[in-house]
Amino acid sequence: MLNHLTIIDATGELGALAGHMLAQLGASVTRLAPAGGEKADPVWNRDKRCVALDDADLPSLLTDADILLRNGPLPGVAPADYPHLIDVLLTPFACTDRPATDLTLMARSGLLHIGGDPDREPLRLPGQQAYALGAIQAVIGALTALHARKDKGQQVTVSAYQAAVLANYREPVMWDWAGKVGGRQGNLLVRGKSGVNQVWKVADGWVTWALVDNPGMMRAMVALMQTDDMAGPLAGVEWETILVADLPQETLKGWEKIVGAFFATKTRAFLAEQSNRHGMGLSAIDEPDDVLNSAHHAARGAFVPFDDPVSGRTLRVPGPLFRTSREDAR
Amino acid sequence: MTRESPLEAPLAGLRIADFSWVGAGPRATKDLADYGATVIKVESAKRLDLGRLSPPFKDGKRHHDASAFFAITNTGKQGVTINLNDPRGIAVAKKLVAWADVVVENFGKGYMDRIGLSWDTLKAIKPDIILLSVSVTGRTGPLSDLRGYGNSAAALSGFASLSGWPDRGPHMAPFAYGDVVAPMMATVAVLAALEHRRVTGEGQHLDVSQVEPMMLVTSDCLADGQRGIEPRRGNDDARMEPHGLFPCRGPDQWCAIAVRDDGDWQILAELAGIDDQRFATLEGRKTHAADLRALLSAWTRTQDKHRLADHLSAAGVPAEAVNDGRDVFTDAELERAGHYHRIRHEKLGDCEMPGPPLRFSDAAIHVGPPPLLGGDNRAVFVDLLGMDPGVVDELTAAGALA
Repeated sequence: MLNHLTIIDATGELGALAGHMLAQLGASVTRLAPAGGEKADPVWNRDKRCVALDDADLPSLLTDADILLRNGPLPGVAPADYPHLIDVLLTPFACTDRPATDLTLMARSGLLHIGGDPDREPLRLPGQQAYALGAIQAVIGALTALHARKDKGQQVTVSAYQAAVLANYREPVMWDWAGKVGGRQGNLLVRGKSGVNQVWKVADGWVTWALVDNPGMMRAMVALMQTDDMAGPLAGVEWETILVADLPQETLKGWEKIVGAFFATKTRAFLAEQSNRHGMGLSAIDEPDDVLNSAHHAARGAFVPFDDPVSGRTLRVPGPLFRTSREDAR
Repeated sequence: MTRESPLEAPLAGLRIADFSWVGAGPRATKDLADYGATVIKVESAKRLDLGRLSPPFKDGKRHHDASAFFAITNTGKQGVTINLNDPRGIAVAKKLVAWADVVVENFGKGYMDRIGLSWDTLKAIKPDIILLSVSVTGRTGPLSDLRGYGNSAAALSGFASLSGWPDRGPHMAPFAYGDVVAPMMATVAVLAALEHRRVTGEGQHLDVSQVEPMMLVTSDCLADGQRGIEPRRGNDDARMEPHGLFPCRGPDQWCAIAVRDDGDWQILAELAGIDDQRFATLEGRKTHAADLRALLSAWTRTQDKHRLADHLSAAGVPAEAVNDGRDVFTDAELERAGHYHRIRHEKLGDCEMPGPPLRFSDAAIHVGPPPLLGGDNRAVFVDLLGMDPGVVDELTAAGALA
């Protein structure tokens, strides 16, 4: 889609994903390996031409480039001297110059406070999600500026911290509008007055499902439970007339006990297949090996091989960002 | 002297017919609206966007125009009501398609075909149209019929099993991360497709799943698992020590500290008064991590989390308080960066909505109010699409535009 574009990726760990995404979209991406050594995982640099920053002819590279991705100044050049260039500056903060890592950005964003179990310290999301969110926003900024480019490019500044705050779409707004501060609830999803369980033990592993305000999904689950005569009082609930989020916790606990007893008799595959057929909103919780071996992901070409310089092995890593009808036509 | 004209929005002139609802579609079209696209959100009073039913509500009173959750997800859009189960409603929807550059939907698989708005139909109406479909598992593949929410995406992408402590089961974060990263990827897809259309004149159907972006953002974890490295690490980092949360003064108060290298450690050790050569190198700090964390926790435990973070940051060591929703909402950095935008809304009053986390040097971002249910029916149906006002009234009374 973007085969006609040339990108210079001068970011560090924060931003390497942005260059990778543009490369996945077809752009030609040159990675300037940081002077202090490359810290980004090689999965983010696998489809780029890599040049050591010290060896790069920056004026020549920037003259030919459409988009520059960077975290700070580049030696000997001023991006503003290249009027066609879209200059994307991705930094931890917009207005504060203080040191940051993914962990500290996640902490400040409020996303750590609500993660994990109540009996332990707060828990981060896996990987480097503040960096990932910042990088995707950098791509959005770059392509938005590209859309607006007539003769002249412009600078786009992106804050990874604000990207993480934006992902925290509940907590600041709950404080602003309801004066409520959330906490760690383990695997409970708290909405309104009550919380509902999202992770269930089944006969051979784990599934995710929850009592939610979607009458169709709730009716489908109860119908399945009725085939084993295990729905109990749930069979009489008129889902259209209630708001699950407003029910007392004790009522929900009672209902969840009935659902849990039913789930314990079933396998992940059975429940997932029934849900896929009847629209129950349930999914098996896949381990990484399940994900890599999923027939669904294979059918969509979601993973591609990668010769990993860290392990010396050929790994399977996520490939296309999305599918399009243009691929199907080919 | 000529007065300088205000900056134009970067996506001014772009037209979006948005049939999406809840989170995964609407967040993408919110981005596009904030950047200046004209987004017409199609809803129905007969089947409300579930976001309109989500708390918190203005003054705690449930009303379809009073959800702050819906508001922050739908800033800057115009709102119309069309009953998509009525052929007369579909006829109006087709007029919107003819107007649009991009059509967005996140219904169950096959729904657009059943109501007469298939990809082939859209192309016949407008050959260079871009259709964006957002779903949990994508429009192809054995699981493409799945109906679910963001937690299904967390489950099927491995995100839930990668989350959590090494000694416990999977953890489901208390927010739908798939509803965050999928719409961001959807925005990327639309922008890339617009650039492709500019160059080639071709439209396309974009199929964005929630699962695939969640796998993308954990590519490093999925790679580590195959490298024989435990990918579920809690708050640890293989390349940093200490790297985690340390208790501070008050109940459940914490400060995140990340020591990137030996230089960071020397600074921290001096501030904390820890003089122990076992901790001089990363290897030593990893080997004696339990002792180190105990010593450091004893020092942090009596301190205010914000002051400690400021103190360490000023000395050059990455540290931030573990903020709650109140801390985030009142963070001066967000105020200075203009993260929140003031809007005026008929039901919500004067209030602030979060905007995009970026700025353009030569283009404006405008975060406008979210739509009232059907609030723009006349402006869109009569003024924009040129329908006869009498016909619009008839269709409204008949329930086709409701």
